[in-house]
Amino acid sequence: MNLVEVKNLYVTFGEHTVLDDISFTIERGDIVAVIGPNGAGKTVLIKTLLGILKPASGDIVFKKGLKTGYAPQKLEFDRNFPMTVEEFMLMQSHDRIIFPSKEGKQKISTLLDEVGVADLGLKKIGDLSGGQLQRVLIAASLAGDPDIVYLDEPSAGVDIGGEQTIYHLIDNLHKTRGLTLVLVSHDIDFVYRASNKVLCLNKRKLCFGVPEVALTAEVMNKVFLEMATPYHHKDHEET
Amino acid sequence: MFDFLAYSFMQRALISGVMISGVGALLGTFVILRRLTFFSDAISHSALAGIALGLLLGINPFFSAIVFCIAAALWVKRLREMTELTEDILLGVLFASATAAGVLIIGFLKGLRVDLFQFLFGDILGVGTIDIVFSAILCVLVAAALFIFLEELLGVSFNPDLAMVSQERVRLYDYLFMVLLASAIAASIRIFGVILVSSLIIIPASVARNIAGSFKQMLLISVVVGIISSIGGLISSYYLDTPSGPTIVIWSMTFFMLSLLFRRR
Repeated sequence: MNLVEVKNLYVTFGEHTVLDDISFTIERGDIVAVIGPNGAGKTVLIKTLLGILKPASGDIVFKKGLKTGYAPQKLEFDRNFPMTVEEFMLMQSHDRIIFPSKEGKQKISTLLDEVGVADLGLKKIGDLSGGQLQRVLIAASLAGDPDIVYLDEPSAGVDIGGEQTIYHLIDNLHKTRGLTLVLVSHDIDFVYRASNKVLCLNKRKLCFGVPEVALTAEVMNKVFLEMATPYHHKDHEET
Repeated sequence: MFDFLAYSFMQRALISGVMISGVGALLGTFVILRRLTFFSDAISHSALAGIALGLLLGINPFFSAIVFCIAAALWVKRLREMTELTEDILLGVLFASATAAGVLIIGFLKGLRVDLFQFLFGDILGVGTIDIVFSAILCVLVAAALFIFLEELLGVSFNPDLAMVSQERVRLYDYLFMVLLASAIAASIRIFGVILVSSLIIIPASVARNIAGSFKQMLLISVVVGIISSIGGLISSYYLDTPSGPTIVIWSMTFFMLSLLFRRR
């Protein structure tokens, strides 16, 4: 069953086309990995699917009553603002912050436990490490009992050891909750191991399908050579 | 010791001071989170034009100030959405032009002696019963709206992208916050004046931000600091024979300096 169907999607910023004629479908139970070089439009695609950005043209059809969760790549907020993890989770699950319901508090403690940060409820959200914050964001994305969750670079700001733990957690959540997941990832090992669909993006759609089939040598070259292109610093320019 | 309570003007001043500083401190927590300190300053300055316009047209200046402040807040918000202009440009334009318009209109008020100093720095001791009633109604409405929509307003203020995914009507709550803030500012002008009103909103919340360990604590500390500053400032201004508004601000400023000593992180 299709949860999301994207047809001929174009997104523009002024005169710049950021997404150029993108079409694909997401089915229930999919783990769709979105890969591509920096500036390929991965985050723009996620934000457009979430309704944060408006497409210039094209259609996005959602299954009726689809509930969505989202963990952003970077959470822009005042890190000195006094808000605890528990308050953040209550806010995201539409429970009361001042007089939270018993069920609401219980649910939050279960969610935090599920992502392995059960002891962080009373900690200020600005005091969390990169890995802890990612886990809390993943827990918050589950607060509304979503059918589909979008995770934008869930391993951003996490050290190398922690990265594997985050991907292991995502894999686990998919298996235990049967969630449909769309995640931006640069971890090719995870893409092969855990995702059942891969969308290669570089403004245009370069591939879409089962990783073993879609990621041909030609596509890999197009996507990953561009990802690996060294930064050309102006100090090193020949004069 | 409590001889000041024998005077009805002091009773009225204390009642309205406590109400307004409590609601202002609550709103301040959101203003700090959204980094809207300059916004509240610009809106309070635009109240001067609203008051002057009310006096010119023979309307109650309290009403004209509310309408003018809300209109100014919505104008900035709408123009921000429709154009590429940044908020600081729009606020800079509003800040200067509304103050200029206010002073010009006051100049046209022939036969009516207007004390500009009173509008700029407030006159808490001149608060009448009718002012208290209007302020009370407005404060109750603003506080009730804040309590009912606390999580929604906090979500929109904390991270608009997350709010857009987890709740509908994000723009509505955004506009609601602007209207609440503009209304509270307008209600506070009579007491604190155009120049000092934003300090009533910003300073107690800044004290709370420095020392609170949670959002709930921040709300509580902000309101307590706002109310104590208001009562302490009023009483000390009575005994020291100093202007009330500035004395209240100095009280909250003292709390701010103390909070720096106990600052978390």
